[in-house]
Amino acid sequence: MAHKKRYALVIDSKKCIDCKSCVVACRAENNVPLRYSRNWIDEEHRGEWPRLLAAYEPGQCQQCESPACVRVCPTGASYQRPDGIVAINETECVGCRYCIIACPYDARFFREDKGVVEKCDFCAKRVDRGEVPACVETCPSKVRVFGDFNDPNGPVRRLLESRRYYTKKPEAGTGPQIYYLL
Amino acid sequence: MRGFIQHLLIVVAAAAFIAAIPPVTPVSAASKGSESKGRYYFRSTCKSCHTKGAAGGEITPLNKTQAQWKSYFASSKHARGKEPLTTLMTEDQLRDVSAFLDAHAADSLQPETCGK
Amino acid sequence: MDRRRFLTWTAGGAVGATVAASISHFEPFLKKREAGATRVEVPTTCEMCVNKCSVIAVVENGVIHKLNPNPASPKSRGMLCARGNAGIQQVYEPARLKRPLIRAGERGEGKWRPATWDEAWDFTANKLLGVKDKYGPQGSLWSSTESFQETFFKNLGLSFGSPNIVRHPTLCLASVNLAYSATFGTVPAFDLANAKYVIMSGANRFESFITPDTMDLIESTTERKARLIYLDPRFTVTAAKADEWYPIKPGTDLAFVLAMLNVIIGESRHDKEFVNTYTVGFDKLIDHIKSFTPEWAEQETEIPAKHIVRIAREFSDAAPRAVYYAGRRSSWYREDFQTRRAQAILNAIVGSWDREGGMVPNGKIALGEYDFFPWDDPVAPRIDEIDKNFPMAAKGDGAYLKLRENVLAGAPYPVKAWMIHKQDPMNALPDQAKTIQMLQQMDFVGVIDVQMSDTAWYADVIFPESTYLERQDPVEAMSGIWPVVVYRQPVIKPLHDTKPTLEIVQGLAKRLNLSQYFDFTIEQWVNAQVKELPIEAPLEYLKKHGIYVPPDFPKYGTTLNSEHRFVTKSGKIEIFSDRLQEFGYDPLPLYHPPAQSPPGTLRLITGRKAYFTHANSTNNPWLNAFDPENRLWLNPATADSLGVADGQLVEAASTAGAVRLKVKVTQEIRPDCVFMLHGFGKRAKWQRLVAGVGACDAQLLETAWDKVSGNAALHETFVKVRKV
Repeated sequence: MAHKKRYALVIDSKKCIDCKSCVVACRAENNVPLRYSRNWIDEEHRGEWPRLLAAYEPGQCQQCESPACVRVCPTGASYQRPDGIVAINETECVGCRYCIIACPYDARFFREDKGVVEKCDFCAKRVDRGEVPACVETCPSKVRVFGDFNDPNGPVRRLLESRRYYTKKPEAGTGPQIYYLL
Repeated sequence: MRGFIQHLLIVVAAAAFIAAIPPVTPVSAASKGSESKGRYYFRSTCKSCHTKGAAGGEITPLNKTQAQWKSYFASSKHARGKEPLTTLMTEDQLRDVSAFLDAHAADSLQPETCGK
Repeated sequence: MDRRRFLTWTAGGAVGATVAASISHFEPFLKKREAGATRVEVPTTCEMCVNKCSVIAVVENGVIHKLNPNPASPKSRGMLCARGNAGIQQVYEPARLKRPLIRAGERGEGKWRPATWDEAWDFTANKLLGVKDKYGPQGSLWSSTESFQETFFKNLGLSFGSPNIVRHPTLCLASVNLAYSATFGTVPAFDLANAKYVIMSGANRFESFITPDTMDLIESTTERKARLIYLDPRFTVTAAKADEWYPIKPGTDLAFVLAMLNVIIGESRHDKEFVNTYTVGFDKLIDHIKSFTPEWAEQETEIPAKHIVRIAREFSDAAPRAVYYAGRRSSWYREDFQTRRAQAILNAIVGSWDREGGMVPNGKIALGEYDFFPWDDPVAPRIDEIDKNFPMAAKGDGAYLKLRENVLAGAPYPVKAWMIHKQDPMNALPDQAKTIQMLQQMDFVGVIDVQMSDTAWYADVIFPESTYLERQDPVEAMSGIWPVVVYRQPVIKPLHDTKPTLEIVQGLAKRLNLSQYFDFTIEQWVNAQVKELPIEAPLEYLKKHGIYVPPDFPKYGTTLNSEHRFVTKSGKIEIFSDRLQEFGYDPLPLYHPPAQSPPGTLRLITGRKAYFTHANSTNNPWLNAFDPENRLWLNPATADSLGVADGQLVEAASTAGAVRLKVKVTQEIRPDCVFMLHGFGKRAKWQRLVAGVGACDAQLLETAWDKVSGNAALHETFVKVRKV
């Protein structure tokens, strides 16, 4: 019996080496001008010489289950696809930027040159062609695993069943669909 | 006196013997022939029979040590002594091929490089 | 204009408009925009670094939209790094070389006049012939960095009659290659995917470079609990990921290895059967390493003896799935050859050879060749007198720094013409003042490049090459644990009046009367290369797939039999090397401590970031964004003692020169070292993002080299830092 698809991302930050491949791949794939970024790497550096620690964590739109951005959008430009991907219809966007304020993850940005808001949409065009998002594909460490959360035999569920994980700002109540492995 | 002369002769002979041992210096094959031309002749002439599956069986420079190649060219016996090498190539060409094989022999110094 | 209509227009031309927003002067694309998008995928091979990953270019409406990884390649493993993705910018860069240029002012002044190809060729050929008349063909120098078309450039120099071909290895990895060649007769690959214990001295695989080793190592350490021990004066990304990181005192890695040998042999932990069957000279090693105790090594390296002992034991326990990783760039210290020799010996005695998880001799694929009768050998000896100075080194690569020294001395003879292909000696060589001298004393300097490098800035004639995405290249067979043949075909037609190196060379050859050596098209050359591949219609196959992956790899154990003869003097793996002894070098590594920093100075160490390829991609906007300006790394204690704060401007000075740049105060470097990224402070004004921005490390680095290989020693420079 066919199930409803629901795309999600699993991120293993331990593998992230901050090589920026995902940032450049996203920029190329989605024609994002240099001033903006749909994805980024958060860095943490701690300690004092020689007891040091550094960790890297990729970030992007969390493609929430109950996206705050969709809820607050006055025109319906921000919407959620049946497969879970949260997308923006640029022709409907009036650039009020209410969604930017509503997003708990700072995932959205305003395109001055176009007058609309933009964010990561899991490379919806690629996904619709049967490919994975550019950031997922390009990564040397294979930090990101993309797939259908609802597929019990798919890579996302298999990972989440065998590994401990956390999500970001669960208290915001939006149900983020990026799972960070511990 | 004879004992002294005998000693002297031994010393002289020993000295001559030691002088006759060539100093162990790097062999510069280039002074003896052109490696690049030798490679060309090897590929155009020798390789016609000496590739995998062909009549003479695959032969590469690594098949012999420098000393073995040297003695092979000195004896000049091709195809199990059927003919001298000069039936296949001129002396000059053979000198070039010999230089090429010497430079890439099983025990020659051929440090690997990057990206050819 | 009504916003909705504006947006509708831009939505339809979204690709064009957004690309245009980030790249100026992009009229040609906007004019060609069509109503319905056409989309093609073209497989090819990346050239943003030396890795040659397989790429599938997505071309929409005749514009390269995205470069995707080609999943078919076992080398690039379905990955494409930041540089690979940014290759698009190399093509559409407005300030790239678009037509031949001839210098119109002084060298380095930046005044150019556009020239036709005929003018550029005529001018160059006349100059070259003039130099040949006056100084002989050996008066010309031909320097290049590896590329698929490099062979045509080198052949032009050789057929011209010059012995002076020099390549990049003695600025990079000549010492490690020679050390492994001297030990095993070959430079093996490292099976990091299957290794259980990996020790790395530098070779910052998680930060400086993205290679299959990077991918294998991150996977084996995170998924398969492989242990990573990492030695580096800096806390790099690799240090952050390693199980153990030691801020080793710079230049003492050999002491660490010798102590490991001491423990392993002293405790009889070596692989006796392997040593007896496949090696010679072990008996001499036993006595040799007796004095190199862990306690002694602790004094040298600042790594506690108890850790050295434990690591040695763990390493030998994990063998043969244990490797001391050779790394790639080994241009560190004057003693680098012997350090790498010791590492090779260490790997050998624990039997990590030709087995899973160890060193694996490279699988190779035989390609055909376009045969032609070669030119006469050059008559004159090489200018760097490599036979005399570095008799064991790879002759065809030359010894770059010694070569420069001789050119500047005008001895043994003058060199007055310099042709350069895909290389930026102004940045690639240390001691830039000397490189400028070398350039200025030339009667002629000609450069083949895709962008206006600092060296091109000082040239007399610049030949603009088509970028890798606009070119048909020879195929390349890449050896390794998974050997492949990769294909590079044009993804788009050249945007500008550029040519591939072969055609540039052919234009010169015609005027130099050397056409007979270049009397073929690239298609004929490629056809000859591929016809021996064991596949149906190999050319069509490669055009379609971009890569040929032979079956039956990896192969382990092919050399582990009594018939196999290692390409060494003895036919075995040489722990003790007679040959080294004959040439007057230490046949077993002896320890010579590195020079120490004079009081009031700090050691300048170098390293890379994986989004910059040496100096040539710092001006790529998509990559420059990550590090727009290089800074001088100072440990907080050092910064305090100098009275400088983060972001403050300082002057760093060595005997080679002085530069000014801002300080980055960071915990992640030893207090006795400083570090700066390569590829900044450029002179070429066309590289707007990095011209005059930050500082050029080549101006600071002093000339030093490894005595066996002639490889540059880039960590032997001490700088005085002061606030300004």
